[in-house]
Amino acid sequence: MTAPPIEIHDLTVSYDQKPVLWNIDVEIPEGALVGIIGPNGAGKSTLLKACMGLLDLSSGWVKIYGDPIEQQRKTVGYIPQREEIDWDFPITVRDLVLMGRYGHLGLLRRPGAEDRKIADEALEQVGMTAFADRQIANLSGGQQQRIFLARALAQESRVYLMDEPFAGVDATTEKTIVKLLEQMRSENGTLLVVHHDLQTASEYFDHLLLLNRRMVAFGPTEEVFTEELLRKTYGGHLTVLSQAGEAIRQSKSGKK
Amino acid sequence: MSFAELTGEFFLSLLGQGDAAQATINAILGACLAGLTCGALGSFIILRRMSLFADMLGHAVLPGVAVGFILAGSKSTPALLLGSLAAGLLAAALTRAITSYSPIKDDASLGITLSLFYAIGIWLLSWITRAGPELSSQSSGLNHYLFGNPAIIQTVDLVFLVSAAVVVLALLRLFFKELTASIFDPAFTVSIGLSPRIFDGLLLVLLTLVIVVSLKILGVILVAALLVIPPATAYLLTDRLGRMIALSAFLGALSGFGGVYLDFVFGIGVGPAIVCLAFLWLMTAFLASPHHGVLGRYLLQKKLELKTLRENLLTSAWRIGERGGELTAIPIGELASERGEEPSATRVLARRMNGSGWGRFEKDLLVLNSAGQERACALMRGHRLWEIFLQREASLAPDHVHAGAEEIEHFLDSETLLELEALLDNPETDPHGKTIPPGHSKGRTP
Amino acid sequence: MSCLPPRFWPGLAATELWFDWEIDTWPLLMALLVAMSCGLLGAVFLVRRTALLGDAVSHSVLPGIAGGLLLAGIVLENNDHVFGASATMLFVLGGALAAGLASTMLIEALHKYSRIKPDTALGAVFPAFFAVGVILIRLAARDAHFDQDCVFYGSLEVIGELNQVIPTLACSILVVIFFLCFYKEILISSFDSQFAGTLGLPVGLVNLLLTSLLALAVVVAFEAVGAILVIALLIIPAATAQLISSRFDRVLLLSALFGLSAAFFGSWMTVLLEVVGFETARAPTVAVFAGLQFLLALVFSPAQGLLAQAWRKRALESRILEENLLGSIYRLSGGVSSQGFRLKEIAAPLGYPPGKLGGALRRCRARGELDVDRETFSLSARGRERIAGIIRGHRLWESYMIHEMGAASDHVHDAADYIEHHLQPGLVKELEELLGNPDLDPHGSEIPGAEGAGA
Repeated sequence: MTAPPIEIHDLTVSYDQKPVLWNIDVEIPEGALVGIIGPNGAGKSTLLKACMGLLDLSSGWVKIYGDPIEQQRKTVGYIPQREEIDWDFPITVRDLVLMGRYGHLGLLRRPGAEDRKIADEALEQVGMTAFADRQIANLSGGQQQRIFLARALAQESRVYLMDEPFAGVDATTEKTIVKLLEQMRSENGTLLVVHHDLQTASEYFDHLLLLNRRMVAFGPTEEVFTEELLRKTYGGHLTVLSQAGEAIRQSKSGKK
Repeated sequence: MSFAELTGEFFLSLLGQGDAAQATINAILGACLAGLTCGALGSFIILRRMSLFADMLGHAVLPGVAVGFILAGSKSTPALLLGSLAAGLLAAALTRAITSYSPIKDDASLGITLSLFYAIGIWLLSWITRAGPELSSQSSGLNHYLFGNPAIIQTVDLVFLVSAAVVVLALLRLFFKELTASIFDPAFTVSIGLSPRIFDGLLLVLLTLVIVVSLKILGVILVAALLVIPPATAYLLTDRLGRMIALSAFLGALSGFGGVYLDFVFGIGVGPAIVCLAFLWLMTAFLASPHHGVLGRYLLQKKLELKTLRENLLTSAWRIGERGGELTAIPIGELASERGEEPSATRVLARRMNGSGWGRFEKDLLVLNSAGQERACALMRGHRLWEIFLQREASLAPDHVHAGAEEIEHFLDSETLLELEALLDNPETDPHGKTIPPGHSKGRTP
Repeated sequence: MSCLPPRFWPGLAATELWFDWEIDTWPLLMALLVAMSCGLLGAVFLVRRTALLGDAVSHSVLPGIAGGLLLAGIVLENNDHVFGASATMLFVLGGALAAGLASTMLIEALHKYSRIKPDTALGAVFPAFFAVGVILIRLAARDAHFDQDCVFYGSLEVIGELNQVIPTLACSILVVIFFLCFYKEILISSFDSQFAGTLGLPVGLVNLLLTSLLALAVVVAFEAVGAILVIALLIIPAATAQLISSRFDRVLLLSALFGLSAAFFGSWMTVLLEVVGFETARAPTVAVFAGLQFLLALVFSPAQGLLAQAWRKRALESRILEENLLGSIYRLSGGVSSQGFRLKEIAAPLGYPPGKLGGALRRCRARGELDVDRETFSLSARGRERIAGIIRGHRLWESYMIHEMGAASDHVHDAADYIEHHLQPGLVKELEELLGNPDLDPHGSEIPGAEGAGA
């Protein structure tokens, strides 16, 4: 049996000594388009960042195709949240997409003709070729999301982690993005997408991961998208979790 | 000597021989090199939001200068450079330690390190100037490290400046893509297996190096200005990082040259003159940059206002034409009553149609040419399609849609219009029952 | 301190180790006044997280000061003896206020009306203002005698009469009065300016007054400590106070106090250093002493200091070791018997080398939580009581994770091991209520009673 694209084992993540994600256990199957669903502050972005190896883990591990993330960097593409980007940065659309090739280039080497070709193709795929020379602030919200998708495409990864690619996007663009995601999956990709909107979640994704500081459920959408599980995700006895987190932070930072 | 004579002498000294000329040439070379290097590196510094950090480092190298002097017993350039390099790195470490091990926030921690190191530096300098003759006789000119003074630039300083420039530019070139990625999107940088911390460290080391070699020209208080102001200027002028760096380096070098010249002529001090010049460029860009300047945006807004005003006249004219009137030459009186305003007001507006390419004001008539009629038709079509869209998709009441359409009609481009048509199945009448003018009309009057 | 023994330093008279009041009275008074008003104002700006405003203002008032001097030189040319220094002072103050205000407005405009970020705007504007100031000072120094060095070093030494202290005295009184009258407004607008606005408090006015007072304090400090050293007095005592206390009123008081002590001891240090042949300027010594205080507080502060942090970390580690030791015995004995175990047996399930538990063993014995029978240790009643609470928390947490979080039962033990040391009584109680006070944990082990009596 080959190792799954993403395997998370007993993962606990803390910010400032305070656990925000508790004991997550999940295996994402190959070729799944997974929506991560949960209320505000449920730790959705934290989960993605932990998978990317951007955070220190309090316990547990994450494996990509059976290896630690460090050995599988090229396999994983990441799309950050809109708010984390400085849109005034002096960079054009083409240069941004070209950035997707940096991981393949290694230190000191500069992108060559082949990389430019791949980047242009990625732009073509998201329908943004006409905007290649624009600075990234001069785009609509949907276009901004699309160029980050293009960067992920240029990375030629097999696993994609996306933090709210639908934020700040109008309905038409949302449909375009969904089509792109489906296309990426059909090309043997596995996608993990943080999503905010419960209405469309069951429509867009074939798997759902219900998350609220702990994992409530993971499985095919038709099995997991039930009223009971959703109630557990959005309700539930979670004050205890945050109180325990706070207690750990206080006793570790030594406040009485 | 008069201004012109001094200017003449300045440029003559560039060609001339002798000590005085050599000093001027050294000063110019030093100032330009410092400006160039600071400008290039500064682009990364301001984008990485390290502007205030750079300012802190500038002040904080002072005790290193003093200690280097005390240990070497003379103003030996390498000793002072080594001392200030050490002080700069120590200050960076202290800033970090304060924020990690105490509740004090970033900016306060910068302020603490800045003032603490600066105070120690000044304290030591005050001792040096008062100390016994063996130190203080050597120390004259140490004060130049406060304000900077390129007149004391010697060949050895130039060697250091050139080497620093070469090192900095080469490393920026080599790691251009990594530095860009780590500043723009640190999470992405980690995700491709690079550590942004390493590049932060690289920036820190280069920053300290550049500050240290530029110290003699600008002094501790002003050195950071050259790292922040030219890049900020370039940031307002271009949208590409490569161009920003080149432009900023150029502006830095230009300010360096201009500063030496201004000091030569007016005797106002090179460092302050360089900073004032650089700030002058910044203010100019702030006001007049085509895209990001205040003036540029003001003009753009004015242009938009004029276009809106003209287009509103066109739609009013179209409405008159729709009722069977004349669309080639509309009497101002009719136009005024359609718009519900005094004819005198309409006359003022109609005059502004001149030069639009759509028509002009003539003998109390608004005369529209075919381009104007076509534009009026397109505007009306957009307006009414939008009304339908609002009513259908946003479920607004028919009496609420007009105001929204009034605003949006000026901004609908052909792509959006096509999308609207497809979405609405090319309707023929708007929610008020009015006919929607057909697309691609050739100046047809209803 | 004046009662130092006469031969404290061989061959030196006590008088040389202490202030010479004939010379030192006014400089000391000046330093104290400046440090106090800077301490008070600096604390407010630090708490508001605009600590660098002092930095910016202190650089940018320079052109105002220099411009004021130049203008005063022109306007008062022949009448200087009529108006005296006070008229010049007015010009300088006016200029400085205008320059301070202009620079803050320019910083605001730069980042509001262009894409330039606030930190870059700050970093661009104040050196530029400073540069203009330096140029103006050079021009002023051409006409009149103006000591350029005092921009850097201050000139506390040359203050020789009451007249020179009067502006500073007036400024300090103004600052104190302002704080006494507006304490409430300053507090609320610093803490939550929007809330203060909804209460109808004059937030804008308070802020304007604060900034104006800051500019004023910087100007009067200019003569004493120079243009840049004033930053040290604005920010360092305030930060020192923040390391000691987190209450607004105490931070204010402590900050003023640390300012005063830096001024006093810094001045004294100058006197002492001079005795050993290390002659320094007075103002930077004061600033350096303030820095020394800060570094001491950073290490030794009882609340936030590095030592206190390390101590608390150690205490937590020892407590966890003790609890693990007791817990191990409890589990080995099945929770009921008072059977004794060897150290090696106790350490094995914890995965510790036996030596690691030595300290914990000693402390638990001293507290009477362990009974010793030759080489074996068993829980005393007191020990059982302490550990039963912890075990209860552990097992309740396991139940919670399985029932409420849907965790797999073979994953919960490590997490519970970790959290058992941090659960507070309130939280345990909440868990009990949530889980309906279960008797058995998910592995079928008994959950000890809330009284901690075991069975």
